[in-house]
Amino acid sequence: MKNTRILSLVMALMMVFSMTLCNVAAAEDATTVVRVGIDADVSSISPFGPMDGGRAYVYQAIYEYMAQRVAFGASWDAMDLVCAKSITQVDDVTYDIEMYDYISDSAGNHITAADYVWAAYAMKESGNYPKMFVLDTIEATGDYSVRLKITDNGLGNLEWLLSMVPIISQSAYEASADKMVNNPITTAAYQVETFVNGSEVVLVKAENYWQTDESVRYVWSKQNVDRIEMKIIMDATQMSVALKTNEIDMAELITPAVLGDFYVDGQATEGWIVDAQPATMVHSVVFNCSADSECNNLALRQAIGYAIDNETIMQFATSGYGKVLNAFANDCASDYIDAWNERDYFGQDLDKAKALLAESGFDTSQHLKMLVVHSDEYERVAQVIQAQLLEIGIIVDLNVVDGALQDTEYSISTAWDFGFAARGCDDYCTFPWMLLFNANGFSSGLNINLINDPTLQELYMACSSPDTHSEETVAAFEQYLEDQAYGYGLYTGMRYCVANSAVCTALDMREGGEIKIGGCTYVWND
Amino acid sequence: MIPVLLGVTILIFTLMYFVPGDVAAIVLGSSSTDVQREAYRESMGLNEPYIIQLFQYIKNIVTKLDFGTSYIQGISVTTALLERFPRTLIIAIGTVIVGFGIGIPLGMVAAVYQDSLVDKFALTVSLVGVSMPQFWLAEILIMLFAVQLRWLPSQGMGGIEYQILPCIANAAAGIAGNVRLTRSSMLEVIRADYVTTARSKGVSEFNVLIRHAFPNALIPIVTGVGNCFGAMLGGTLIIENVFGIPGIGAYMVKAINARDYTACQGSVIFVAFVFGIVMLLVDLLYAFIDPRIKAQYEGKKASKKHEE
Repeated sequence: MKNTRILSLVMALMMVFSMTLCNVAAAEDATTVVRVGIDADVSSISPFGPMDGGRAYVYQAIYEYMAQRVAFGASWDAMDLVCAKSITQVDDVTYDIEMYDYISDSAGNHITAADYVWAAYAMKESGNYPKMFVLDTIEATGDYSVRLKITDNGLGNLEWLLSMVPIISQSAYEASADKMVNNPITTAAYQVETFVNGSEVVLVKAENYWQTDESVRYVWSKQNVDRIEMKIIMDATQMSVALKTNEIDMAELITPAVLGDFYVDGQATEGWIVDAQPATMVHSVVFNCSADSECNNLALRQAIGYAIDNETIMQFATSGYGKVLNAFANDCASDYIDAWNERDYFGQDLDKAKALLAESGFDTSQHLKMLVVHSDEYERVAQVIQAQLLEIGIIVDLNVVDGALQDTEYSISTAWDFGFAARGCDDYCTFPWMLLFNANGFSSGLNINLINDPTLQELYMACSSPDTHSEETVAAFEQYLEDQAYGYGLYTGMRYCVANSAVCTALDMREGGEIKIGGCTYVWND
Repeated sequence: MIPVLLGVTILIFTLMYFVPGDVAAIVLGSSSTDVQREAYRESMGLNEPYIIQLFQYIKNIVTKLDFGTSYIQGISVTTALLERFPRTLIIAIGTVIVGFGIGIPLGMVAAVYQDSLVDKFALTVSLVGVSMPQFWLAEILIMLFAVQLRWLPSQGMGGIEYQILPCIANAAAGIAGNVRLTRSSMLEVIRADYVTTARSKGVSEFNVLIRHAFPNALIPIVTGVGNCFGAMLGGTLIIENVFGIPGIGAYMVKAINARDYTACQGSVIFVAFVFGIVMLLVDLLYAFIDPRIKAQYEGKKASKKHEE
């Protein structure tokens, strides 16, 4: 009898215990999780940390900004407002911004205009964003309003500022022992649960997210998934393996070398969703036109341009998943001129190349130096260019440098004759031009060609200023660039993002770039 | 060890000081102005003379264990290294266990059955191990165990299941050396008089090998373990890259590629320190393994005491 009672009690306890476990398991199963593979290391998630490939995937998830671009070339008045309620232009360089008055971070700190002013100056002082020179002054004009003055109204300057200065609480930042290096406290819809440098970033939905009006939420703030686990997978093959073994549900970037399992003949294979977008890079050849280089000879530059077969280069570099450029620009840019696609541009014409070489009077016993950044893709391209130039009798020596030293090497006039350069295009064609051909942007006063051509500079100023930026001025600059053969576009690649269709039913992509994970549609949203 | 570490510190600091490249230009980019670069150099103390910078650097390491701040990441190098070291340590321990766990028995068998088929088989296995490129073996293991069989994860960090494939891939090349080391050490002792005496006394062959021959052959093997362990603690870039393990090796190579001078310096000094500790432990282990070495130290102590 006593044993029976004891046995009954034990069984009852077991029943209660197992029911509790079931409830816990059920509660845990209700949390939606998406695991994303990213192909670059996230060096820092602190609010003013330097931007790199990995941070570009996460910064919009971790932090909020006044506004975000909706498409390339969208001006400030067409941006998605996130923490800004309104933006009003006062004059060419002055703007008034009104913030929401109920913004708070995950710790409950109320965000005011003073916090934004502090963040803007702190970001400028961090030194990690040289482009913060566009910020002239910013002051709070009220508890939730600021007056922002930029140094010049160059294309994209205001838009960049609005989308890059994070909204964080000054007191929370100053109270943070590690200055939010590992556990930032932010206003965003997702908070960092775990950050393991070189391994993963885990984000969880912020239950007390301040923007309760779902109709005005930015896409990243839709919170379509509860938990986002971003795993850093640097190796391309491993990324593919991780997708196939269900260790991740999405991959931010699948390289052409391993794309075949997911994408065949322009179609995603069964079980996968693939987003294919042209990359925003402009891969190009630029010339050293200084007196120390043989390439200060226009005919020689043109000869090189007509000796190189862009199509072959593109095939080698991208395994066929790319396209040849017909200008020193990428057609993702909002000011790209479609007529460029129809014109005759540099490309292999060996007879023309030989004629120009003869015209140049270049002594082919001399070697030319080609500067190329150390990477598998770029070195392959350089070797192909070497072989193609050899066909017309030009011998090229490769000068391979690490990425960190390329700017330094480009500034040495005796170190190179021509180089293989890659710059992002994004919103406007003028962006890569600004980075390469705007002499005012270099501390030496000489552009990438190591010259300061007044005509080129004048044309650049005309096409880069918002007041004079037009199809005519853009076309004029590009034409001059081509006529002088200071540089020319070779190819651009394609970006492929892959998702498991058993988890994600529709991808929401940032134009030319990353997955907006919080805004994608998942099976549990349908 | 201290003079060694000091020498390494001075050497690596000097090398990084004179290596080409302007830190300010690298960090701030080509669009930065001269004023911005100068301000950056001033804030980082890069305008000070070489001797002052070196002295300050050594002082920070000695007094605060501070290897500086990463130019690229903006975080403490010491913190980054301490965060990554346990991951590399686990891989190193696993690699040594696998490498010597296979290498020692194989080597012993090869020695006992010298010139037989078994010996040839053991040496062939070790030759195959050393001939396979690490990254190739890693990929094959992933294809088999992660993709096909789904027994183990393909990459990442976590429990013991995440360490198995990296340790096997890392250890394969070392097995060959371990087999040969063990084989040659055993061959030296296996025909010794005391082993013959043990056999003649009727001790079983197993006990002859394990209790008489093997301990006497252990000294070079322990040295091999120490060298292997120390080398592994320096990080294995290929394995860390393939399996997505953010360890010391990946950190060092990333720092080198990005010209992150403080991270490079800190990593080298840290690895030198760790290697020194491992070698010290190996030396201490000798005394435990070989009573003759222990007796030597005790003898020296006793004679000193006697003289006093």
